[in-house]
Amino acid sequence: MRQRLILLGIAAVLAAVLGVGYAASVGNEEPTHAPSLAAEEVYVAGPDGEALKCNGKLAKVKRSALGSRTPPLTPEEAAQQSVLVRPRVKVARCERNAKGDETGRVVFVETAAGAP
Amino acid sequence: MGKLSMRRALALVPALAALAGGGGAQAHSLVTSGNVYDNGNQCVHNWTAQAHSYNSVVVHSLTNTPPFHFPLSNCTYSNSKPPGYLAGRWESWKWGPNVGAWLVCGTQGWNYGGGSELQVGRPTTGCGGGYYLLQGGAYVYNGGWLGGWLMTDYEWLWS
Repeated sequence: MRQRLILLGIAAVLAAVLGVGYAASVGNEEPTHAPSLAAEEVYVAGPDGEALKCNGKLAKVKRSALGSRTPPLTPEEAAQQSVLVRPRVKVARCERNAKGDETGRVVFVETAAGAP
Repeated sequence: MGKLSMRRALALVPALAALAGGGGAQAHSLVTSGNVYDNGNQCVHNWTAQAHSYNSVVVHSLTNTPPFHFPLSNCTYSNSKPPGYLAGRWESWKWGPNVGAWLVCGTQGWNYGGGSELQVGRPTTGCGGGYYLLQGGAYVYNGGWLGGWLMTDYEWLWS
């Protein structure tokens, strides 16, 4: 009886270990390619970390909407900015109208660091 | 079942645990660095790093020429600049398995500074567990913005 209980315990541990491993491996689909630096449009992540959908459609945004690839300000203009005003992290969200319905467009909102 | 069989069964546990753990890549810091511009008098060094919970870009303004003009050495010496002459920015990308493409998880506007080094860094934007990489831009103004972007390899983060 005691041996059966021990075996049952071992089986439960093995099942748990294999289950966790399987669950982890299912979500670990590796990237198949690198992001293109020249792409004009890109997908963005939504609040759930998956590809953002607005009005049920996958949202793509112009690369330029994320920010320019070279600094847009001259050194003189940049030096006039307060060093205390550091740019905040921006994340993509679906734009909503006054009724709260999604318009289908994407907007970038600023967020506290580490909290999208 | 004898004691020997029991021991054999127990011996399997660590092996299976290791097998299961192999399903998720272990997170570690990834760094890509190098000179993204070099004309002899002015070099721009880009250090782009993705850590477990932090994204950072370090811009270095360097030159070949030491203060007393000897010995010359390629992109070795600090080349200090006035405020606003150094700029850095990063973009965090996450792999979207459902769409088979990379998604921009978050980004930050250009940060500007002076001197010979500018560090730009923030905690990660946190788009949930997945494969992430970081792109970082490093520029120095010398009659125009000079520099370029680097991209880290990707790694699994529980961010």
